[in-house]
Amino acid sequence: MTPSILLVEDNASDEQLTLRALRTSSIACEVTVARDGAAALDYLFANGPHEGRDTSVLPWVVLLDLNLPKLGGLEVLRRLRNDDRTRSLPVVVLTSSNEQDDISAACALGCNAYVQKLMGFGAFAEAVRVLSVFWLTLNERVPPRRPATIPPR
Amino acid sequence: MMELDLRQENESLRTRNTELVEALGAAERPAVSLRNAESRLSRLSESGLIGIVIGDNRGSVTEANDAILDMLGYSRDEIVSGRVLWEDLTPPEWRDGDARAISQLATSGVGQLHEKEYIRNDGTRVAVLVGSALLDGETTTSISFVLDITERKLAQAEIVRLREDRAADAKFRGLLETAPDAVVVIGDGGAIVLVNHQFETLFGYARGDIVGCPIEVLIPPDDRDAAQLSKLAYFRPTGLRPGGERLEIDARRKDGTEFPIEVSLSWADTPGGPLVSCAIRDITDRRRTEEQRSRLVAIVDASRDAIIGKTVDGMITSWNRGAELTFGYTANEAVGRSISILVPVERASEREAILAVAAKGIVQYLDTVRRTKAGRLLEVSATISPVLDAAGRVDAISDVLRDVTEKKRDERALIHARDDAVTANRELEAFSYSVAHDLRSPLRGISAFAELLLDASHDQLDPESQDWLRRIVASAARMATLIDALLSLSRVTRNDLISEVVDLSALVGAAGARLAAAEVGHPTELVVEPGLWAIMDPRLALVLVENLLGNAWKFTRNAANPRIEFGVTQRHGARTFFVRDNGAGFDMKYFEKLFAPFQRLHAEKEFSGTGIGLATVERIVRRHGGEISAEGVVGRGATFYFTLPPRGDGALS
Repeated sequence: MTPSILLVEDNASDEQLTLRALRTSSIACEVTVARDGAAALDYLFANGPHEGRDTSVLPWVVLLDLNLPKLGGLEVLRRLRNDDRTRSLPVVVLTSSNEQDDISAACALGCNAYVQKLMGFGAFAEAVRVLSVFWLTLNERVPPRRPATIPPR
Repeated sequence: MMELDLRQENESLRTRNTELVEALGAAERPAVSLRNAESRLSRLSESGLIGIVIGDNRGSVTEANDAILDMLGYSRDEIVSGRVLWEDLTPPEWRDGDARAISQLATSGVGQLHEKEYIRNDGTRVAVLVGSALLDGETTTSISFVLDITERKLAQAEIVRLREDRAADAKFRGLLETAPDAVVVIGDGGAIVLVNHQFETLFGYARGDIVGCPIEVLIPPDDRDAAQLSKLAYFRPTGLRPGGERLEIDARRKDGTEFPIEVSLSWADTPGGPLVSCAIRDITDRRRTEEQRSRLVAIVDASRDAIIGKTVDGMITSWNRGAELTFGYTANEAVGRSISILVPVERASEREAILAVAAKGIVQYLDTVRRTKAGRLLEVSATISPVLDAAGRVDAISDVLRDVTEKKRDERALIHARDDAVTANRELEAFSYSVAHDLRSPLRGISAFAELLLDASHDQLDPESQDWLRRIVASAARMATLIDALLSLSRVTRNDLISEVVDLSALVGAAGARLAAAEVGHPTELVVEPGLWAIMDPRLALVLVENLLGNAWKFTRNAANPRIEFGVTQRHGARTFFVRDNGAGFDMKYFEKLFAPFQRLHAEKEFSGTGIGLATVERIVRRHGGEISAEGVVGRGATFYFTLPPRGDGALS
């Protein structure tokens, strides 16, 4: 099974840079991009344009920016953790903020990692590479649930 | 003296009585030779001691001696001729006694001795003792002996009076001792003749010490008011008030201490001469009370607060000037009315509640609204105190009301302004925070794509173009540093402070070690005074120390023997920390620019930096209620001083 990543990122440059960094990381993966918080939730919960998508198929890791249009990254994280389907979905916060408050809030809401986007492509690409190696190759995934076990909504 | 006189008088009277009785006895005894008797009688008659009258039972007189004539003031002719009848000489109230004596005379021959009075020729009376007897062989002619007892009567009256006096004296003394006041009696000449126990206690003199002394010993010398007392003691003023004279003067105790007294003087004429009695009351307490009272009255009068006395039912009993000014009612208008004239209708229930609590003896402080005479509503700050009587019962209620309408308005305006300022500040901080973050994303794009370009097009670009690309990357990096510095500066004011005991010495030591590790080629001597603590936010403490030490480290880079010192000293009476270096120093001329953000005193090439470090340090110190200053000489080094008060002055909250 091809590893998959959901990148939640509104900044086109950062999206480009992240995708390039992933390409150069030599790990084959499928990347889905959501450009705001609402779009990310629609994708994961198969709503709106993603209606009919099999919600038991989840990305291996979500790379979540905090500063997002419509629905902020922290709110996206809260909703993911409040839903049984996504409660244990690995979420890595990838943001330019290194504010203590943001770090504390994200950790309290149950992010799996908090990584600051570094200045300069070299440093940024290295961070993305390490992340993808960890979450796509080293980390053991929670087995995907069968549809029967999905609790009624 | 008087008693002695009286005793002698009595004695002589008794002697004369004996003689009289003997004479009468002789007259009664017919056995004794008549001649003998006659000669004795004539001797007695001539002695002038006793009046002798011979007459008949109808009252006509045949013989009278000189003594009786002297006694009655008539001539012998007037008596003997019958022009004056014996009966007429006797006042009506004594005539019954005479009649009894005459009838006795008739039956027994002897008239019993009895006292009576005669009317003298001049109309005055003379008290006499009369005894009579029939002459031998006679049935109608009798002889009467009349003794003038005026003096004896006087003496007797004196005895009675003295006896009464003595009783009165004892009563007086008893009274004196039970009197609440100290009493001094001054005799003629101003000497003290009598004092009571209360006097002894009050003045500290024993009775024996003070009796006989002049009244002046009780008065401070040279006290003009007190001299009034001695004047009154000597000269009885005319036109006295019925209660006597009353003075308030200072008095002096035996030990020399002085104290205020009230003296009530009264004068009495006694047989022993005039006496002045002084009832003395210590009015120290009264004075003090009066002083306190007048002071309180002055305070109440001068107060701009409304001070209102009222009964437990809320009826106004007193109303000061402040109340007049505050509420517009005059004292005349307010006193006697209910306090509810001040209570707005919608707060009518408040009045009952306040009175009920005050009745329990509880003092109340409240902010409420009251109404003026003109109907204007005032915001008042009120203190409602129960006034207790001696038994501790709530006797009255005192209200102190301060018009705080304007103050409250100002307060609200101030709070509003502060809230606005806080909001504006918060908005500004939020703005700079989001600007900084928003700037970072495009910057990262610039930096990263320039780097990618440099990497990917390496072969196609000439060295100059490559250099330009590197400059783009470097500039972006520099800008990123500035943004980070700006964010850390805004963080100083953005976050709430935590107060902890922070070991600054340890922080300095750790920061020094980090700097030394980062710059191995820059050996610097770091001298840290151990155990210097401060109460402050630990995160900001770290920022403070890193910035100051980093600053010192940076500017000693070119020094021959770099040395940085951290310690504490006393400056302007305050515990002051300092960081001293022997580096590049600065020109005091630019002191103002030292702590301003983005202001730098050195060229970027010379010493790199953001210009934010010291501004951050200054903000941290100020936010903890401390102060920061610096001294420097170009080429000789700089010293940064800062205080961190043990408790922030409200800036910590």
